[in-house]
Amino acid sequence: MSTFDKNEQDIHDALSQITVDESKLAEQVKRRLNEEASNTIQRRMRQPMTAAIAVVMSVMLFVTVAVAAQGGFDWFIKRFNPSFGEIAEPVEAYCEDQGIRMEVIGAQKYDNMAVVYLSLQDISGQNRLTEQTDFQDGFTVKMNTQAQEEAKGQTDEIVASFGYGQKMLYFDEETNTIYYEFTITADADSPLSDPLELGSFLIYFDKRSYEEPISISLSDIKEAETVSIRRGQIWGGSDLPDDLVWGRGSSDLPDDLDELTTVLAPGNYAPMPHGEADQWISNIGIIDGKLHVQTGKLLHKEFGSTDPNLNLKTPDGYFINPDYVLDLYGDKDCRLLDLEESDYGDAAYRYEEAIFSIDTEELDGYNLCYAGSVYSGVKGRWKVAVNLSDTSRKMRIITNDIPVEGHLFEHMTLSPLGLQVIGSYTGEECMASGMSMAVETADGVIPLHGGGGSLNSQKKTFNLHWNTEAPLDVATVTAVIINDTRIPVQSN
Amino acid sequence: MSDTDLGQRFAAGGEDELEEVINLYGEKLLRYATAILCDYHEAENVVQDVFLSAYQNRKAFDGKNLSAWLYKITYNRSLNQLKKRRILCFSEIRAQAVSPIDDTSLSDETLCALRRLKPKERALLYGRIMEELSYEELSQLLGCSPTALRKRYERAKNKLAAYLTAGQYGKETKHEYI
Repeated sequence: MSTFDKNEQDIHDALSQITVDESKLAEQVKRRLNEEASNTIQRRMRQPMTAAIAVVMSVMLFVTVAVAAQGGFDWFIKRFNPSFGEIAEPVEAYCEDQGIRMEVIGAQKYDNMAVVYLSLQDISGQNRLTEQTDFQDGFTVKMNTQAQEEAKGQTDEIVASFGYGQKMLYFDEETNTIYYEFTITADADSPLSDPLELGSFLIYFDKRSYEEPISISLSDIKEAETVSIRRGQIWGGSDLPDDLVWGRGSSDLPDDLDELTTVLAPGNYAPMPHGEADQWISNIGIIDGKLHVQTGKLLHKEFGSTDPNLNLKTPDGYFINPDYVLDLYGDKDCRLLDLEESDYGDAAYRYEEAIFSIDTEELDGYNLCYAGSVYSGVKGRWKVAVNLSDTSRKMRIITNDIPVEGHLFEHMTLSPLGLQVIGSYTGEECMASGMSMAVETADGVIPLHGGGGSLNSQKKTFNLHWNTEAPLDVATVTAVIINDTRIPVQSN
Repeated sequence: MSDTDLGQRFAAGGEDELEEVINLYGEKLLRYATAILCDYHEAENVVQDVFLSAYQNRKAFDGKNLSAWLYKITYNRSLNQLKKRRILCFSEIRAQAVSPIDDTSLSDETLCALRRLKPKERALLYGRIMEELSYEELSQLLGCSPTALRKRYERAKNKLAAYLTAGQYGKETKHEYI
């Protein structure tokens, strides 16, 4: 770009501030490369032993579970030395379903913040867990029901009721066990339940990602079988042209939208490179001079293929993404559903139609490419309720009347896990989450990290939290420092 | 040495060529991913993944336009990384408020202004203004027609400039829609 206008100059100046350190990048990449190569060799060496392992698995199973149980919390802390281990209580409560044991090794709750050490172990002997194993739909934490009901009237303003940070501490291949650390924080409007109840219902084991060409020759693509549709049959899409964006009810769809009144007729044209039967190319063809590629997918499956990403690779190696993608749903007879008459629950298939604006006379040499992932996992019911001792003596509640840049951090709760604040603001926007937070202690100033929580833009209130890197001794806190404002904390 | 020469050597080469490519493109891709993700730690991981993936799939690479190929992988992986964030509501907000400021030298105002844009808008602005890519090149990278990109660019540019000028902090949102 030869010259910048003023806006571009401002943006250039802003983006030029980004500084990076690439000095160790090559070393890091090569180390990971060597680690992956080493893991691959180890996996290959283990394969011939699979049968032998299966023979002794029934014996080993009980041994490994017993070892884990014998270890318990003290073993865990000694083994991993997690930073918050010293402020969590030993728990050792567990549940089992689908051959997966979920155990809470240690936990502690401080008002609306909690730290939890948890393990997942495959006790079926199938060694299904991997380093990629995770909770497919997130980790569930039970909230206080009464407060949730009270909050219903302002759901539009509530950004989130709880959130968590998750860290995998260790994957023990021998026992097929994964150890996690969770830091959980809830809003004051919907506090954590007592006892603390944790759970999950979808655990995925593995994820395989693909970025591969689809074996379809584009040189013979002609006009395709199409079906006429009403606007109510288009459920949405992505990258839609600016002037074609409409609401879910399609009421804003322009009347003269001829190009969206015809789509490909769903069928079964070709398989996907990943070979899973739950997703396929359902049709491909040319409509009004544009290449349309439609994918089909089974709906209502917890695991399997993710939505595909399609693009075209040109003869000279460039990738062309579709101009836009339409979402359509079909019933069990592959007929496209009408949103005005049917609901998502009636759908058996999802179709995505990608539209490419390229010269359809010169498709020879182009390759249709697929990118997507396939998940394997198990659906079950894992839930552990944890009774924890009262921690109120380890918390300090501060009432403050000193404003900081139009923000009043009115009720502050300090705990070993960090700081929660309920406050209000006077400006147009809440800037609290972007403020620098720290606590002053006898040993020095400790920065706090975070800024999660919720805002109520109508009431102009905020409810935010910040975390510490290491457990905080709240008794030693002498002040909270917000940006450059020091708010003294009176000693107990 | 031209991009094509290096690309062809990379496609047929080993770890020495990988290191050469990282030394040439590492900093640029780190900046690019940081601008899209607004998170330096995530950007580091993404860029490591990019080079790993590129190296492991180098035999499938035709050797032409290595730069465009690496940027494309970085863009796609950055968007994938953002999708992963959706599950962590609080962490999302938390990530918006803290560590990247120290790591990237971006001011709070700049960071919050950037976060008010969609990730694709950030990628577009960065590519156009910092990498000086043409709309045709961006079209290959971002998968839209040059005409549509031109319109989006003007709109994104004006939005970001307004946020920067106003010096306003980003309004918190639960998710970034990508």
